[in-house]
Amino acid sequence: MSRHLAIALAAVAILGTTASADEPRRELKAHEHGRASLKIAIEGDRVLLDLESPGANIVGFEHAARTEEERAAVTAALARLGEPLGLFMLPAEAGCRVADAAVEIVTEDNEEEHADAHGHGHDHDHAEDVRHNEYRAVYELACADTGALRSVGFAFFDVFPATEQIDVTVTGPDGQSAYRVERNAPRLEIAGQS
Amino acid sequence: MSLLRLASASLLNRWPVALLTALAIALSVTLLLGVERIRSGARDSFVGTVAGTDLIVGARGGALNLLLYSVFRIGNPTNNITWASYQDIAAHPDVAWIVPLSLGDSHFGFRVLGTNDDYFRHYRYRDGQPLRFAAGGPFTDLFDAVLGSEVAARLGYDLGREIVVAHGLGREGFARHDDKPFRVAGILERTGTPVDRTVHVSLEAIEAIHVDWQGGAPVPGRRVSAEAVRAMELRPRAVTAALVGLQSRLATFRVQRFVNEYRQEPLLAILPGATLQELWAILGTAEQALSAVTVMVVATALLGMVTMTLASLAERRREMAILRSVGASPRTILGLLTAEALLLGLAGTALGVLLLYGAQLALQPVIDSRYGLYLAIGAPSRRELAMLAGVVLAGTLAGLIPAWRAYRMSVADGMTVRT
Repeated sequence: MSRHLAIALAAVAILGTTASADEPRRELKAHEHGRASLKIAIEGDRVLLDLESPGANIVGFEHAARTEEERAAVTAALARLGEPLGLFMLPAEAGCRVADAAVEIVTEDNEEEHADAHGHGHDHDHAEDVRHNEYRAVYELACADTGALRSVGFAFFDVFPATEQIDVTVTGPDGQSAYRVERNAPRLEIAGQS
Repeated sequence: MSLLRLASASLLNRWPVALLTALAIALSVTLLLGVERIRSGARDSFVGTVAGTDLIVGARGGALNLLLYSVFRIGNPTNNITWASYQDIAAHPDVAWIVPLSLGDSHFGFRVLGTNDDYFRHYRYRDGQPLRFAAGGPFTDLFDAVLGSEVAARLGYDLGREIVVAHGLGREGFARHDDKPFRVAGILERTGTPVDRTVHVSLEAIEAIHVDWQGGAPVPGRRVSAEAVRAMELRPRAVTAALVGLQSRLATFRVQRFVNEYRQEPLLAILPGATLQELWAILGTAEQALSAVTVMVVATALLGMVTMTLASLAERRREMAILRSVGASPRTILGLLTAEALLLGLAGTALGVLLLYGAQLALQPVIDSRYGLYLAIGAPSRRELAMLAGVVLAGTLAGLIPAWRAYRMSVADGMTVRT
């Protein structure tokens, strides 16, 4: 190792302790197993669905898939998530079809890996499989008549049985509203704003 | 039909008791509907206050807290948003407009809100109505103030009047910005929202009146005059919250995520309408308790009616016997008493609705100015009509109890009363 590099590294180490910009951001989103969120935005003939769910609800585990079985489970889940109209039943009169669907798995604590890379001593007894991950999907639907979107049936609960409740937020021409849909009543009537 | 005529004649015959009974039902109906109207009126006025705003941005904290302090001026902000973050959000391509809100000063108990001209352009209330000026116009000078209608009315201010803003919320304000008075440049029309109770000044003016202050008090010997401050560059350091309008609703959650995951500062973006519903979910229990009480009051009134009819049965045995003798069957007796209950219920309900409208006409201005609650006087809603029908139906069903007893008695007594 050249001397220059050593000095540079030392400088980084010193700066690293003082400059907060270098420090990993410590922040964790609330994460509750059994609970998912669905956000619905309606404008014109377009409907945007934004789904977030802990991996535990979807495949039952939140670590990276290791066994063949786990890999298969993730693949199957991603395939189901790619078909929003099979998860959220919209009224037929609305005539909606999927214009775009994007599904991703977000691991929440990539900053820990970040910290590891810098070689800071840290004594987390965090094994890989206690990490949380989340499935996120954004769907864009094109509908013939968004005015007919008065209800949503949640087949989601049947497809992903570990899900207990979904917090739904709707913003549309009638204003904004929020609901909670539960497994034992998997149906949402979208009322106007009141 | 003749049964109803007979029933009304019978009630008229005992009119003092019948009137009191109807009055008891009327009062209970007034209470039932009144509580319902206040409940829905409160909801409408809250919902109407946040119309047209897609997102509200503030410091990270509770969503409800942010909604309450930014729009309804209830409670206090946990933190401010730095001006740099504010501008980052304003520069987001999905953001159509953004209105800054800066709170912290007051004028005779009314909040002073630092904002800009966009506030008057973009703020919407009830059914998307824009703010309108009753007199004057938006800010033209650094020290211009625009008053909400109630501020102007309560303090008797006109255009051009000089006003002094107090630091913080002190009523007489031991710390006053009296070296930099404001001039009333505009007065807004009534909106029935917290805007009516707000003094609006420009964001730069908020900065200007604090330019020579430090730690909540003027720095001695370092007075910067109003003239000198005009020459300074007044860049706000922070705002309390911001109202955001988007190019498209479809971008709502994208921008919300952008704000919530903003790295440089912990911020929070909420959908005001959706957050308001969380508030209703919390208040729902209290509302239900209140509704339960009013239903109990109606039940009590109907019980009173049943008691009254039952008590009168003994003295009406002769009347029943006469009716039987002229050809009335025991069934007719049953029908007669049920019809009486129906009529009492109808009369009580009608009287109750009249009382409600009378009370609303008399009290509306008081409720409006005292509590900022605008209760619209309109035809009964479908829900209210259903409630009224429910009262009449319950009354008629309750009337079956004395009617059944009268039926049994008339069968037993036949046409003669043995005493």
